[in-house]
Order: sequence, then structure tokens, then C-alpha cells
Amino acid sequence: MCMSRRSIPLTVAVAVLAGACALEGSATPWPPHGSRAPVPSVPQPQPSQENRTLPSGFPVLEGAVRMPLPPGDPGLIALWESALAGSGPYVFYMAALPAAGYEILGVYPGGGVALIRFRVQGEIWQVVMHGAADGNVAIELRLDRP
Amino acid sequence: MTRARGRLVAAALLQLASLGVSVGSALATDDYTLPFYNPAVTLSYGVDRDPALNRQLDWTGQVWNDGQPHYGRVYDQHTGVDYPMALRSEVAVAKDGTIVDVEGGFGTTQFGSFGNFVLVQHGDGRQTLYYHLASAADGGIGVAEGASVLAGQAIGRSGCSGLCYGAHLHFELLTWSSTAMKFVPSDPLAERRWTTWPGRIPFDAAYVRESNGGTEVIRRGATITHWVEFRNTGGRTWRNTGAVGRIGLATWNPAAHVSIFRAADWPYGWMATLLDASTVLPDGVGRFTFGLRGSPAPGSYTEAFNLQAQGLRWFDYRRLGNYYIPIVISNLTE
Repeated sequence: MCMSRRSIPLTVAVAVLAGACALEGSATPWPPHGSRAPVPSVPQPQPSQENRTLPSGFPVLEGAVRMPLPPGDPGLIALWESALAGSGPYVFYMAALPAAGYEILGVYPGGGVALIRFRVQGEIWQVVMHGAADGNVAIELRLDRP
Repeated sequence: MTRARGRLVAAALLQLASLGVSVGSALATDDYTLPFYNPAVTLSYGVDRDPALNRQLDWTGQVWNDGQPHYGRVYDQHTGVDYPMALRSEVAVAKDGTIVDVEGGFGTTQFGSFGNFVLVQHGDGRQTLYYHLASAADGGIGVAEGASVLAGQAIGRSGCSGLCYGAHLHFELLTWSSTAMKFVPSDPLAERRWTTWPGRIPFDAAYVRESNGGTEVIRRGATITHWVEFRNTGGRTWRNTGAVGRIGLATWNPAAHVSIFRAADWPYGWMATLLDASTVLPDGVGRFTFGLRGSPAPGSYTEAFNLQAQGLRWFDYRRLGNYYIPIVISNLTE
């Protein structure tokens, strides 16, 4: 629940409470996926994803837990959840992707989501980070999309 | 002698052009300008103009029915415009106004439901919100509640406080709704509430030409007249009046040093001249005419100049083309 530390006018309450708290993700998983329960091993991939593996040397944030892939999202190749809150995963990938030899093509940080487009052997991928349950950050590795 | 000049950096415009948006249309209404100073900053996400969950209407008019983020366009139920920024980048107020609320008590990257912000009331009845700022202790809040601010004035520094998954500025335009009886977010991009379209940073200029593009040779003790023209590639209208914000040509490297070439017509020892014309609209060309006096000993010199919105902001000297004048003082006296 959003809690203000101090009294603020109605205008800001509207803008921040509605605009930032409820709308920018908060503790609500975004976008909605299925079960978020951590699993000890990599789940069986969806049929459309069966030929996809992680790009060689793709950096994985320490402590991130691999999650099962939700159905109906063929562009999603891998999914993790991290207890590193807020911008931690974004900061990690901003440094780790170039260090692993991947070219960053564009960065799109935001209040509800952060997205990094990068190139892997001529193909463009995305790392997408957003709020998940329990204050975690979901980290998606997916094929590029507009 | 090589004199690199006139270099235009327009990454933001190129990004918009790549999206099929026409560029370079100056409306010159002196309305809102971009809330930062780096023209290379691009757009992360705009306002979702469709309140329905999992359905987005972006600033270009495109509808997305997936609830997913679309870089450069929108993410679901976003109420502002997000611009990626390195932590502690300077934030500029988009229009003249009054500070009506500030919060600076959260850590610069403190994640949570609330973050640091500045809220500004404008004369047109709208408000603008600058959110996710750095902490006050970290320079995030540069203004106090109740203070008057001028368009283009620095009001704080960016951060990643509050609900933030990567350092950026959340800029929000709020319009009073008589139906809802409250301020509601509106979309400055779709409504094109900018002095120019696409929006521009407040102050920017490009070298055009000058009276003598080579070396000025001045007889010792004599004064010559020199002029230089710059194109207003920023979003604010240039003016030569007013105690704050008038545009002048001042010495540089180091900034605002007292020049050994100052002539009798200089308003200050460090400022060669104010803008010749009373106003220069965005995309217009402004001329700056001033004297150079051959006071120093004979020899070869250079004098660098930069534009300044007086009391508000220096222009970016590199984007001004690293402007300087080679000067030779000759032995001949008047």
C-alpha cells in the first residue's frame, strides 16, 4: 500500500498516488503472468520456445531465480525474479551486457518497467525488468518487439 | 587555422524522425520546453491515453491491446513522460511558474511507493511534476516551495527514487479537470504542448556566421566592431531584456573572465554584448555585435565566447561550435 511520509496536497496525491503508485506497478505483478513460485530447475519450455536457449555468455544476476514461462508468450525466452529491488537489475545489465560482449542498442528505463535492447549475433533481444510479487523484480529475456 | 563550428547534435530529433514524425516545425508560442539540458536524451515512454487496463493509446495515436511495454511509445497506464537520465543529471523547469510542493527526503535510488519530486504551478493553470529526483542531500531539489522559477531554470537533479526500475525523469503535465475537480494527467506529446515540435531543450544554439571568420587584426589602442550570428536551436525565445534570462555573449574558458579585449560598449567586463534584436524566436538567427579593443601588448591571442541566459544558464559551448576569435594586436598605434 502506498504511504506518504508527509502531508502532500491533493494535486500531488493524485499525481503520485494514482500515477506512480497504483499505475506504475507497485507490488502488483506487471504484466500479469501465471505462478511466480520459484522452481529449483529450468521448466519445460513452451513449444514455440523449444529451440531457444540463452545467448552464449548471457549474464544472469546473482541470486536471481529462474521462473517457469507463462503460456501464450512465444517471444519470452527466459524469466527470472530477483530480490534486488528497484533499479538494481537494470544497473547490473547496463554493465554486464557490454562486459559480456553484447552491444546495447537502446535503453528505456521507466517507473513501471525498464527495457534494454541489445544485439546478439545480428539478432536483437530485450531484457525487460518490472515489478513482481513480494517486491521482487521480474527479469525477462525476450526477442525484440516494438 | 581550424575553427570547428556549427555542429548540431540532434539525436532526439533523429529518433523522432525514425518514428515517422515530422521534425523542425517551430510553433514559437513560447510554451513548454523539455525538462532537461541534454538534447541527446531520448524518450523512454509516453503517456498511456487509454485508462483501460492492458490497452494503451500512445502519443502517436497507435493502440496496443497487450498491456506490454513498447519502447519509445508507452507502457500500460503510464501517466507521464519518461526520459532516461544518468543519476544526478540536471532537470529544467518546462515553463515559468511557482514551486508549489517539493519532496526530497527519500534516497536518490531508494525504491518504494514514494519518491522525490518538484511540483510547479504555471500561469496557464497547468502543473508540471518532476518525479524520481535525487535526494535533497544529493542535490535533487534545487528550489524551495513558494519560489518563482523561469522556464529553463535548473530546479533539481534526476534520480531513481520511488517506483523506479532504471534512472530516469518522470515528467508529468497536469491539467485541472472541472469534471473530476482535480488535476489529471494529460499528454504533452499528443497535445504538442511545446514551443517547438518536437520539443526542444530550453537553450541551444548553432553557429551561423560572423563579420570576420578569420583572424581579427587590431592596431594597439584601436577598437574594431565584430559581430557573430547564432541560430536559436533551443525551445525558448531569446530576449535582450529582463533582469534574468536575457541572452548575452560572454567570455568563456574560463567562464565570465574579464576580457583584455573589452571595449567601451561591453555591458560588463566579462560580457561582450546582449542580443542585438529584442527577440529571436526558435529557429531564428540572432546577431551579437560588440567591440574588441586592442588593449594588450602586441601579439597573438584568442578569446572564447559562449552564450548565456543571464542568471539562468550557460549554453553548451561544444554545441555552439567551440566559438572563439583569433586576435592579433599589431604594433601600429592609432
